[in-house]
Amino acid sequence: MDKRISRYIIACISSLLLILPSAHAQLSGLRFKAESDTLPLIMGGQVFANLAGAVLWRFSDYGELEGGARLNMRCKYFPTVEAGVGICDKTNDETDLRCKTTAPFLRLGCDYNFSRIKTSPNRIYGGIRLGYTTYKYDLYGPDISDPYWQGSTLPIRLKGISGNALWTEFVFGLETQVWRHFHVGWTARYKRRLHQKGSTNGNSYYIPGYGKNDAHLFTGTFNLVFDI
Amino acid sequence: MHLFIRKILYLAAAVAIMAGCNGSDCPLNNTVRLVCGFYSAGSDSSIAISDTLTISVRDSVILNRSVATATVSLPMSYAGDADTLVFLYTPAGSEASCSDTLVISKSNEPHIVSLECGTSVFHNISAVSHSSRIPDPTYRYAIDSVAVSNSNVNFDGQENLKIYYRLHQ
Repeated sequence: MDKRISRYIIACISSLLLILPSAHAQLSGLRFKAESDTLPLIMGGQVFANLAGAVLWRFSDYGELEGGARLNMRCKYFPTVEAGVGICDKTNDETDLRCKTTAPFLRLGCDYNFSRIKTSPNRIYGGIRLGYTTYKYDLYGPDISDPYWQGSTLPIRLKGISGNALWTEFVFGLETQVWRHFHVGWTARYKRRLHQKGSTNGNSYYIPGYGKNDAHLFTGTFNLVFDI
Repeated sequence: MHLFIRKILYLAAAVAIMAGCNGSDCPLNNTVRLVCGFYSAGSDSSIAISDTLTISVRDSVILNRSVATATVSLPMSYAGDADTLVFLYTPAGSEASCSDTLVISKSNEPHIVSLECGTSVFHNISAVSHSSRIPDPTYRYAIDSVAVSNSNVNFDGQENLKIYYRLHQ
């Protein structure tokens, strides 16, 4: 009998342990939801640096040194500015053609916090950006030999070609608190080129801040974020 | 937290796979050619030259023994300011030939479609001149005049020059 009673008590305690956290979470959710409506308009801000762009730049043909800042508006809306320098020095192994550029870029946009608990330090973002850059690029290549006019060659040394580009980005991101004011997060981005001005000699292989010069592409960032 | 990290990994993998799906932008038609059409000087109608036509440049033959030719697509020099084309007409059943000379002044612009696709050279025709000759019963075709219909020589394959012939009746 004693054995049966003790088994019953253990079962009850186990059930309570399973139920309590979810009940607590639901109550917390209600409490936070109520809080988010009464939060002040400006809740501070964040500054961040993109680590992935710097790693790409260091270990591949192109990358970005970039950072940014965003405003926290009621933990829901995050107007964001991102700026940096895009760097590229790419030589194609098959054709020996080379493209080189270093130029600044700017992105403006806004994120929305989709987290159910808005004030949670862990956030799920969705947002858009509008990016712009104006840049100069160089195109180099081996001399072209003329197959019909023997002995005639044309050098490929095109320096300081002017270009500019405008693009849009759709952003999805996650961010989590690591320690006090310090967060890490990443974003996945679908980018679409809206406008590009290049040259009849050829466009740049890389657009600073956009990436490889395709009509659309997917990229990502890994951000180190600090609350201010 | 484990679920959160797993979601991050799945999404990162999906993005990496999607990022890898980029096609090549290399155009299928990537040959730069000067397109010339042959026309009758009087009527402005297209003609086919019945003589055997050979076109040569400084070192090379760029069109070899073409018969019943109404249009020709010719390469241009990559670096020269002007190309001199010699049109050699050989009437049927004859060993002898006569020639016209066409001088095309142009600029040369290297064109890089992308680093993967290699290099082409586009041209812009600034002037065209030609030799003068009177057709006779043996050599019935002689260039009368040349008009530039499209000065940009690139991938598009459009007609660049209209070459008008005076025909011996």
